[in-house]
Amino acid sequence: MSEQLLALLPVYGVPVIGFAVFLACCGIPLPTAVIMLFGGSLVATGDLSFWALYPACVGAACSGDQVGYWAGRVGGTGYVERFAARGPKRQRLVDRARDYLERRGVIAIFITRWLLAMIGPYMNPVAGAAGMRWKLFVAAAIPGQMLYVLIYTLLGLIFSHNIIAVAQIVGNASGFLAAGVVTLALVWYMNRILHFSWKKRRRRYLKPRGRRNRH
Amino acid sequence: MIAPVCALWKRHRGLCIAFVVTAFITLVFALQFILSVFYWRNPENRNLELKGWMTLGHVAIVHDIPAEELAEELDLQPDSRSRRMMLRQIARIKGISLDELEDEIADALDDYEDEKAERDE
Repeated sequence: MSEQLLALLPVYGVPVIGFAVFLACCGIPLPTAVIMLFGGSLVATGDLSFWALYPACVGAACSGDQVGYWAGRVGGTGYVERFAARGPKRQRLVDRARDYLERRGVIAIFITRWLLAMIGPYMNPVAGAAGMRWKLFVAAAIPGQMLYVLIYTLLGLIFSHNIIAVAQIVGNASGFLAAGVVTLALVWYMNRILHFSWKKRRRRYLKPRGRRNRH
Repeated sequence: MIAPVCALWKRHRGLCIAFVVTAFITLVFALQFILSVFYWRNPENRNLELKGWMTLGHVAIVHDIPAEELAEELDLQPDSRSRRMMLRQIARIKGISLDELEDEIADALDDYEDEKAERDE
């Protein structure tokens, strides 16, 4: 299917590439990486201008991010409030998540734009719903997208002879990175539940549930 | 060692399933990555097949020949319009099958390489 999509690119050029990038950043699974690589290779052959392709892709990617963010903010904030209002424990959880976004959100958004681009589109509604400040979000998202688009168009430009190979290799590598980070986060969380302490090298069972295990 | 894992499985089953699934996906991607690197390092696999959806420009990039020359060899106008035509369309215009067009392109590539070799000498 993506081969047919690739065939559209030389015919319709920048608008198709921009639109595909926009849809991908809204969370619709499209092979954006391949599309941008192909765009880069079309720059190499002189069919497209880099100065048309690059701003179009960055603009499309950033507007896709905004769609995701505002969807989360408009649709998700009420849900988070209701969730927090159900009990002090949940309130603490939400507070902690917000606190975390405030401290580390910029880095998280920036990294998920390019290095972990596969989970990027799903971060946007989360950031919006958790009430991340819009200015912070924009300040992290725009440089991240500029880097993302630059990396892929340059790769396409340099390896224009063999973009299918580059697309496969880069796609698998970025999939590995994204899935690996999610796995590591789950391992970290499981370790927290198991109360594993690196300093004491000692494993307790699970966190005691309330007072049940105390005497 | 087993007991905490059992307890984790009983109390946090969703978390355990999520971990197993993501670990599996990570492994699959890692394997695919390694396989794709080895696949494309093999020079035999670099001779890409021609397909109907490929444009003339694409064929020209992959086989390292200027698109104008390739268009001329195939008796087409050497402009950007013919460069953007798919092989399927070209075959239809010329009234030949895709296989015949592939042979023509192969001949054109051979001619071009011969000419280039002569020029270099």
